Amino acid sequence: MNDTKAKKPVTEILALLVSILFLLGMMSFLSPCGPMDDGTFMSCHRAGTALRLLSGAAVIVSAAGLFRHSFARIADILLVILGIASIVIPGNIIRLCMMPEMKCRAVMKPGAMVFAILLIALAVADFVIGSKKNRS
Amino acid sequence: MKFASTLATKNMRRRPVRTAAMILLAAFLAFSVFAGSLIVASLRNGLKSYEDRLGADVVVVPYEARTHGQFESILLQGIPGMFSMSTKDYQKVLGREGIGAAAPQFFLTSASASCCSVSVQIIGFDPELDFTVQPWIRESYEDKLETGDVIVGADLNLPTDREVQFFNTRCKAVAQMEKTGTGLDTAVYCTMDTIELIIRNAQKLGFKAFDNVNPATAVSAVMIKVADGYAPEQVAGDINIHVKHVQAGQAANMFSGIADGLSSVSGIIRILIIMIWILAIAVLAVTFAMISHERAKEFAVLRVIGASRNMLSRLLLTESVAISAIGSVCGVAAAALVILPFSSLISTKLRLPYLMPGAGTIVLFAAGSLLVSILAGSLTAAFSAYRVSRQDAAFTLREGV
Repeated sequence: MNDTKAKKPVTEILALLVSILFLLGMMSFLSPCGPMDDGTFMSCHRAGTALRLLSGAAVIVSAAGLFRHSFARIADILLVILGIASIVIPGNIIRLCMMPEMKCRAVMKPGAMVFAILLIALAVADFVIGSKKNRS
Repeated sequence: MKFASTLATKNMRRRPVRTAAMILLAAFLAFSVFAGSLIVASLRNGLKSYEDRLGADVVVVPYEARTHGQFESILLQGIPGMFSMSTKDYQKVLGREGIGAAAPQFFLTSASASCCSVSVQIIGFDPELDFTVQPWIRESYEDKLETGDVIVGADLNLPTDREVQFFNTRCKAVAQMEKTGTGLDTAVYCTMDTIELIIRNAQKLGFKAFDNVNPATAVSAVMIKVADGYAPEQVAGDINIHVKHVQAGQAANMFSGIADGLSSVSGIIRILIIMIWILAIAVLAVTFAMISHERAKEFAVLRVIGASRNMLSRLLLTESVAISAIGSVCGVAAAALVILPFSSLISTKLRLPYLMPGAGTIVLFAAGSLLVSILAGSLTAAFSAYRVSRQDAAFTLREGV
């Protein structure tokens, strides 16, 4: 069957959508606080930057996996790695603010975790379905 | 059985949009039950924790602090506050009858912690007299609390060197409290010596709020355990009559107000769950009735070629169980993704004590929600399945229904 005419798996399309939403979220409602009065940033600013980069990378990887079938399995593995990084980095590798009601802890970290879990789940599902199709 | 499940799967695939909509409805059932029960359980846990955490029978605070609700704001919402009573009033309180144990505390707010732009509640206590703070220290801390040592609330994120600074006073976090689900999870605890040091440094820095505070004798609240043979009501009443400028309140009365708030929130959640269930079950039942009507001829043909009545009803029930199961799993997963990571945000918005139950309890709630939702969703097809099994095949085929 012609590769370009093959039906795109739903999981790959969903992974791309979730990545795009993640990136848009990190640029808007999920972003950490802006600069303080003296112009400096709080420690969570770097975590926000890292998450923006990770979500951007997820968009590129999931798009590549969707439009180049040969890259699909590698894209799945990369998405899992990006998802795990999005969960581990904020709060563990890059410190967040001290108080739990600060936006980085109340919104950014849990929001990133939700998107990361969805990405990981979709990537794993796509990997399993894709592997089964390849075998058959 | 295999024929029923194969046909059910094919039917679900044949109408993907309808199947997806029904799965969504089943997901709403599971989502509402799991999320609702988790929130209510967390509120109940929080209230119990609040009750246990207070530890005292009677709490005495300056009159203004009580009437403006500052003390409750500190406990419930973690809104930092600062107030003090005169040494004379404190001594008068200690002199009243019926006091078994009395632990003074001083409440202080920092201007801003070294890492972020919100102020932190600092609570000074006397380790020799205290009975409300030390029982809640999570990490085992056997040493004496030195000047400059602090114990932080469970929700405070410590820097790697565990050093924090208040009014140019360097402090070291030596232990962390157990999570309580109250505003005290964001407080910092230290001895009165450390409080004295912090206040002196704040006065040197020119903070006007500390102009009238004597750091050596500052007291904000007195936690009282009543002596045997005395009732909290009696002791509180006696203090209110004989000591001016302070307000003594029974701890139990503080809970009743919060318990009322909890009842209201629980009631609203229950009503929402009931409304969602009525709507979702009604729509699912109607949809299955439509499916059975639409496929009446198909069922009649199956009957004619030898399918039993049981098999026909099993066909429809298999479909409803599959849809309910898939929907319920999605609903529980979605609820877990919303409620668990965002528990801190939910707690802040509700402004009530909020303490998530343990992992085991959460798993039990999830399993229970799955079971209840699958059962309810499956039963929505029960009447239609019964009707399908009772229809007259010949009549259906002849009448062109």
